[in-house]
Amino acid sequence: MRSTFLGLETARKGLTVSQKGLDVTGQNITNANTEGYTRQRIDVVSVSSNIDARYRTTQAGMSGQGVLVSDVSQIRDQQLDGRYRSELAEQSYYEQTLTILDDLEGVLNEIEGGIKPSLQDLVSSLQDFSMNPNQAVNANIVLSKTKSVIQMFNQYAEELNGLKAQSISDLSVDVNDVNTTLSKIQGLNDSISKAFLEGKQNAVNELMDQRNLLVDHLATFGNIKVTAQTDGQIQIHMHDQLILDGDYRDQLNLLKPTDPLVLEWQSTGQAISLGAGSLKASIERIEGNNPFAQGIAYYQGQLNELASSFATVMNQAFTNTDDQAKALISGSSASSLSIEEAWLKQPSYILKENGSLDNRPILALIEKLEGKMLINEEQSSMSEFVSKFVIALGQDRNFIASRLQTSTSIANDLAQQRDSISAVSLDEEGANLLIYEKAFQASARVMNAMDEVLDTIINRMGLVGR
Amino acid sequence: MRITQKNIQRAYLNNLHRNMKQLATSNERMSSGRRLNRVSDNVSDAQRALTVRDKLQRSEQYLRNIDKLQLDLNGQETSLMQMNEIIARAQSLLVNAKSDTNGPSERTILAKELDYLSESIVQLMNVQGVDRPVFAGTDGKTPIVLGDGTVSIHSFNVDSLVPPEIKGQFIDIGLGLQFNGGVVKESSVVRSDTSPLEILGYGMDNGTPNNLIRVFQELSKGLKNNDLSGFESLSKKVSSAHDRLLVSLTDLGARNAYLDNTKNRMEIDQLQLTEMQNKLEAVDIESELIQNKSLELTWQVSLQLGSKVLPMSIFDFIR
Repeated sequence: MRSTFLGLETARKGLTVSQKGLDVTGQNITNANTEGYTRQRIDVVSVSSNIDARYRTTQAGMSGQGVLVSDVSQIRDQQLDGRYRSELAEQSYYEQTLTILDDLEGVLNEIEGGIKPSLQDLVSSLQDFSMNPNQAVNANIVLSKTKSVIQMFNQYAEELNGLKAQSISDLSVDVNDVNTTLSKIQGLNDSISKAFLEGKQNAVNELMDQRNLLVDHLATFGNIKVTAQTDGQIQIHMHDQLILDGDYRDQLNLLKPTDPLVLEWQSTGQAISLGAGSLKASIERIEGNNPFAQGIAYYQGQLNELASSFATVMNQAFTNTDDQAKALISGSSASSLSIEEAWLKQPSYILKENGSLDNRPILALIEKLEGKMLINEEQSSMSEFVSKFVIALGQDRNFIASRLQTSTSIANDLAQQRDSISAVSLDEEGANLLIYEKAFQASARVMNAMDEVLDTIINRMGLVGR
Repeated sequence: MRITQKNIQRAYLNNLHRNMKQLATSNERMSSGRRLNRVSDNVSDAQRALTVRDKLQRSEQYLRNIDKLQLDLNGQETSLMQMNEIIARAQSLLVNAKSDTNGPSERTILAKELDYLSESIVQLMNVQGVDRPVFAGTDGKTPIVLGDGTVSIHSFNVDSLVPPEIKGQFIDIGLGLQFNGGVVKESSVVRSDTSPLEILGYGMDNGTPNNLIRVFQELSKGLKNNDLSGFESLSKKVSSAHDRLLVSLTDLGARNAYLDNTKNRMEIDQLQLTEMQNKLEAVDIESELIQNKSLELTWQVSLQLGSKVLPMSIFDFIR
């Protein structure tokens, strides 16, 4: 049996649902540009009549109980999140690699200046010297050109050292970032699971958005795997290492100054291994000293080999009257090369003591500086050696740049797909706005109708004969 | 696919960013005037450009070397040409001296003239060049030093029977320096000096000296003493010294001609290398300008489009 005021209650529910719809639409519209916001939708169900009624009835008695908001849900595709994050790790791996390679190329720029032209200048001065081998002025020019070559080595070494220090400090910032991000995610996990426990799932949509944003951020550092738990928490693995689970949280430690530098998880105390992400890129390109990962250390090594060959050649070039080689350059690495005191004080140190015009030692030196020799276990001239590693660097950089382009476009596609599902469409929300407004008006009309019906029942019924 | 505002914004910003990047790259090329600012701009071109630069710089140096070398050789040639005239005069003088019509007093006069010619040769050989004696050899000192009845060239007594060590000075003109056991291969360089010892001669034959100055001294002595016993054999030594001089002059001429050829070849090479360098390194201004303009236009169009695309939604139409 229908109660007298059932219709009014139904209309009230309609009004409430429409208002909630307008609220959520408003929330979507105002957050259309909020970073990480996932669009929300009210899940609406019609209220069923009481099927547990004690008495069987064939009448439609209890139908028309109206409508209820069962949930305010987020529209999100977990699988897409996973794919997006793994591509994000790839992308940021290439991006970080490219950053360091770009810096390296900026330092080792042989297009404008560099070791090659200063070597060439030295050879030119030796050619002039070979034509007037008894003149102090030529010896002086040779000294100053040798100084330029050494300064170039020193400068390269210093800039590479600076680049290494900078990259390590950037890495330590990243490490801190990973640790704070993990702790923030843990905090949000905690709040979300509490809300779940209290049955307030609807209240945590915004917290989940925040958490997803942080997880996206975490994904740029390494390849992660996210597992959702039933209590609303998430569990995170980074390259098979469990790093976040409930109250458990691991921490990254960068041990420095050590050579080679070590990045380890506190739990295992062992150097981390990663499949992708910017941390992997940084470690590879700071420490990389093999043909597969040519990092700052690799180019430092190449420079040192070249510097040591240069010093050896110069030190063997000139002999005194006792046939003893005159030491011209001290040091054997790019940073430590310097002119020997004896030569620095007296530029004519390299002249023959008896004023001889014999230029054969000079020609021999020119041949050594320009000809092929064994540098770092390969036959090449000094100039070719420089060309080789500069060209290799350019090729490496371009290879990474093209990989980055591919990876960026994939990540971009996935981001577009994700936004296609989760982001706000203003047109859609505008339409929703109209729909809920009209629904509200219609519910109000229902209310009026019910009111008129009640008015009829209360005021107009049973007036016959009054 | 459901299109959201974020989708439109991202696509728009990505494209705008790409347009700006292309425009910035083109601007950099225009303002620097160079196609290659880093190796990675075009690796294979950069590799070639570096090689071309090396070659160009080297050939410039070699051309400088050749100029200096030719200057040296010309100085030597001038002296040797004068010496040629002196020997010719000495030869006619000797023919004259042999004649029986000459008495002791005439022969003494002829001897004096011979002394004078011998002195001229010493002067020619010791002539000072721009920064050192023209025939400085490898020790850098004035070549001929006269002692009491002795002549030494570059500290070597010309009457000595032991053959001297003639080192020679060599210049690299880009033939590809080669060494054989620490000694430079003469085929890979060009010799820049002429040895006075090789022209004037050294050693003794049957008690008569080979050296021209010593020969002149002996001849003069004989004439002064009116003793013509060794006259014939000494005269022959003058002739062979003349022959050696002519060989040296021919050699100098040949070296000079060779240097001229090499220089011509190098200058042509240099032209080609410069052209290649331009192609590899310099911006083709006309085509770059056109490209720059079209990139600028694209960029402006995307900016204009932005003002239309971004805020457009149903709200522009509902009241």
